[in-house]
Amino acid sequence: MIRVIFLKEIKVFFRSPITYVIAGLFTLLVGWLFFNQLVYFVENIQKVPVSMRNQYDFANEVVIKLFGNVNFLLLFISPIMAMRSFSEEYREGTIDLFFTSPVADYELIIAKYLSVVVQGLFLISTTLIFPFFLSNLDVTDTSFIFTGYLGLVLNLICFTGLGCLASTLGRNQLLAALAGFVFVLFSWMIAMFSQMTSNYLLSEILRFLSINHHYENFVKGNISFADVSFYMSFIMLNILMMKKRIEVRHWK
Amino acid sequence: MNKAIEIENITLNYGTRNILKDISFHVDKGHIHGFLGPNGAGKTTTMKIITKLLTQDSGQVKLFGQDVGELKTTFNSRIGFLLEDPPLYNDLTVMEYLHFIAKIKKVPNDKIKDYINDCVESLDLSTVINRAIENLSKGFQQRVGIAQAIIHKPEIVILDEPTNGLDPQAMLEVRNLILRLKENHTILLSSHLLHEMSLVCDEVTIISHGKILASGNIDELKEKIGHTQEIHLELLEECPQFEKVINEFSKLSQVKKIDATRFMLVPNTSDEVRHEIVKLVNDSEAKLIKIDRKKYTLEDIFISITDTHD
Repeated sequence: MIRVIFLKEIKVFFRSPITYVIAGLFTLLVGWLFFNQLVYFVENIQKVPVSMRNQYDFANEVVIKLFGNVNFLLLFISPIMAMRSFSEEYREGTIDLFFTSPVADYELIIAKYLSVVVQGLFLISTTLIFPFFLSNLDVTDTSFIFTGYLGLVLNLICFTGLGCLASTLGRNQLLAALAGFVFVLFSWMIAMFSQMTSNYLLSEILRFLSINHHYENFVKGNISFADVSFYMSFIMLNILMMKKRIEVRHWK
Repeated sequence: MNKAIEIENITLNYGTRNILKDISFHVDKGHIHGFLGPNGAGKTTTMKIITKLLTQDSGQVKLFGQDVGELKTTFNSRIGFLLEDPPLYNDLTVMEYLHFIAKIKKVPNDKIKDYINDCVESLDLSTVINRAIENLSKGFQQRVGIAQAIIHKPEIVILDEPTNGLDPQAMLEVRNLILRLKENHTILLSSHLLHEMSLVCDEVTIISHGKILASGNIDELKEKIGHTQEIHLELLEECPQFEKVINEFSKLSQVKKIDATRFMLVPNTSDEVRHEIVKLVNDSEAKLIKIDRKKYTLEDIFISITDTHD
């Protein structure tokens, strides 16, 4: 059942011209950012003596910053991609098709969620051209590219999950996108609150709860069990909250 | 077991508002049952409770004698539901949509093609099968909506205002279609278009302000309200003698003098009495210029019943 709903969602996504407009704009923006960082890096490195050039790390100056930029764009794009997932079904009344069919709530949620994630992966995949450029450069350690992409994908899964959760809240897509953005921003910026408190334990807890904190480890190429389990728990909690929201119809 | 749907003492409140007040009625197997009521009467809410989209505060819904809660796995395969606005995916073609619905309704893979073909044939959708749903006329969209309700061959089909917003031609098509569906399904049909309902329904239930006012066969309901016809009579000039004899005529339950020469008479029988009234006119030497009989329609029943309860 998950496969059936997922394939329908993907079919509708790739059939919509808006998909290609968003993908085009996303690629254009990321390309422009990549180009600027590259030019900035080349200009800077030419200003310093050859002996000091090894202090300017290409990975740090260009690639990691690019990941940061793509991640920043995902903050905005994920809620937009996820906004129609449930709210449109509520608005059009098509959600009742699932509720009056032998489709379990979790099947509907996972299929919808998965389709939004795949839509996001499609966008991220357009940036794969940049690592391809790197293969022509003398970059020896490329492991951070894999971990960086893994971090991006995990962030995408978390952000779209929050977007989907916001989308289950009502039938207005715009409000769903706004609520999704607030959720995503909160999960991203929770680390900032950790700096506002003098309580060490609270500060550490807040820092751990921030997606940003775990994402940074990935981008630096450090994958730890704590980071992976944070992402997994975050995703599971999201699915659970969506399920509870969908079940509201049975509540009295 | 002759009852397909049984609604027993259903109550639903939203906060302090009583949406449904202890409603009970049943739908017989193989019949088309009309669910009548003004907008906001509680028709859609009741239908949503039957299809488990809403949960009642109290009361019971039974399908074929079994509580819907007990029909866990078979419930969705035995019931088809069309909401007031058909739940359509505009980006899909009719074929893709029906295929998707057949899949989520768990029609066995080897039967999907046959079931879609049956649907397309019975609803005459072959000319639009490969067209995107958003490009279809409202009439065709409604047909596709009905197709999704019957594609899995349910025993019970619930249609909420299926002719709403359709032009007269499309209404006629949908009406004929519903009559064709009767061959294989039990149908619960809601509408506030009383004439439409009288043309297709075997029985009706009238609901207003969340309360069932009447339920049963249309003719039975006519009997229930005490009269089934009205006679409008007009004389050329006032005739006191006629007034005296008509007031004494035993086959009338009501004589209403509209003005000096016009009368509205309500017989207490469904039989033809005009010839006897004409005889009374002649006997009293009045000059008759017009006599009309108006048989009560579903609309009259509805107005009479809702007036009584208001």
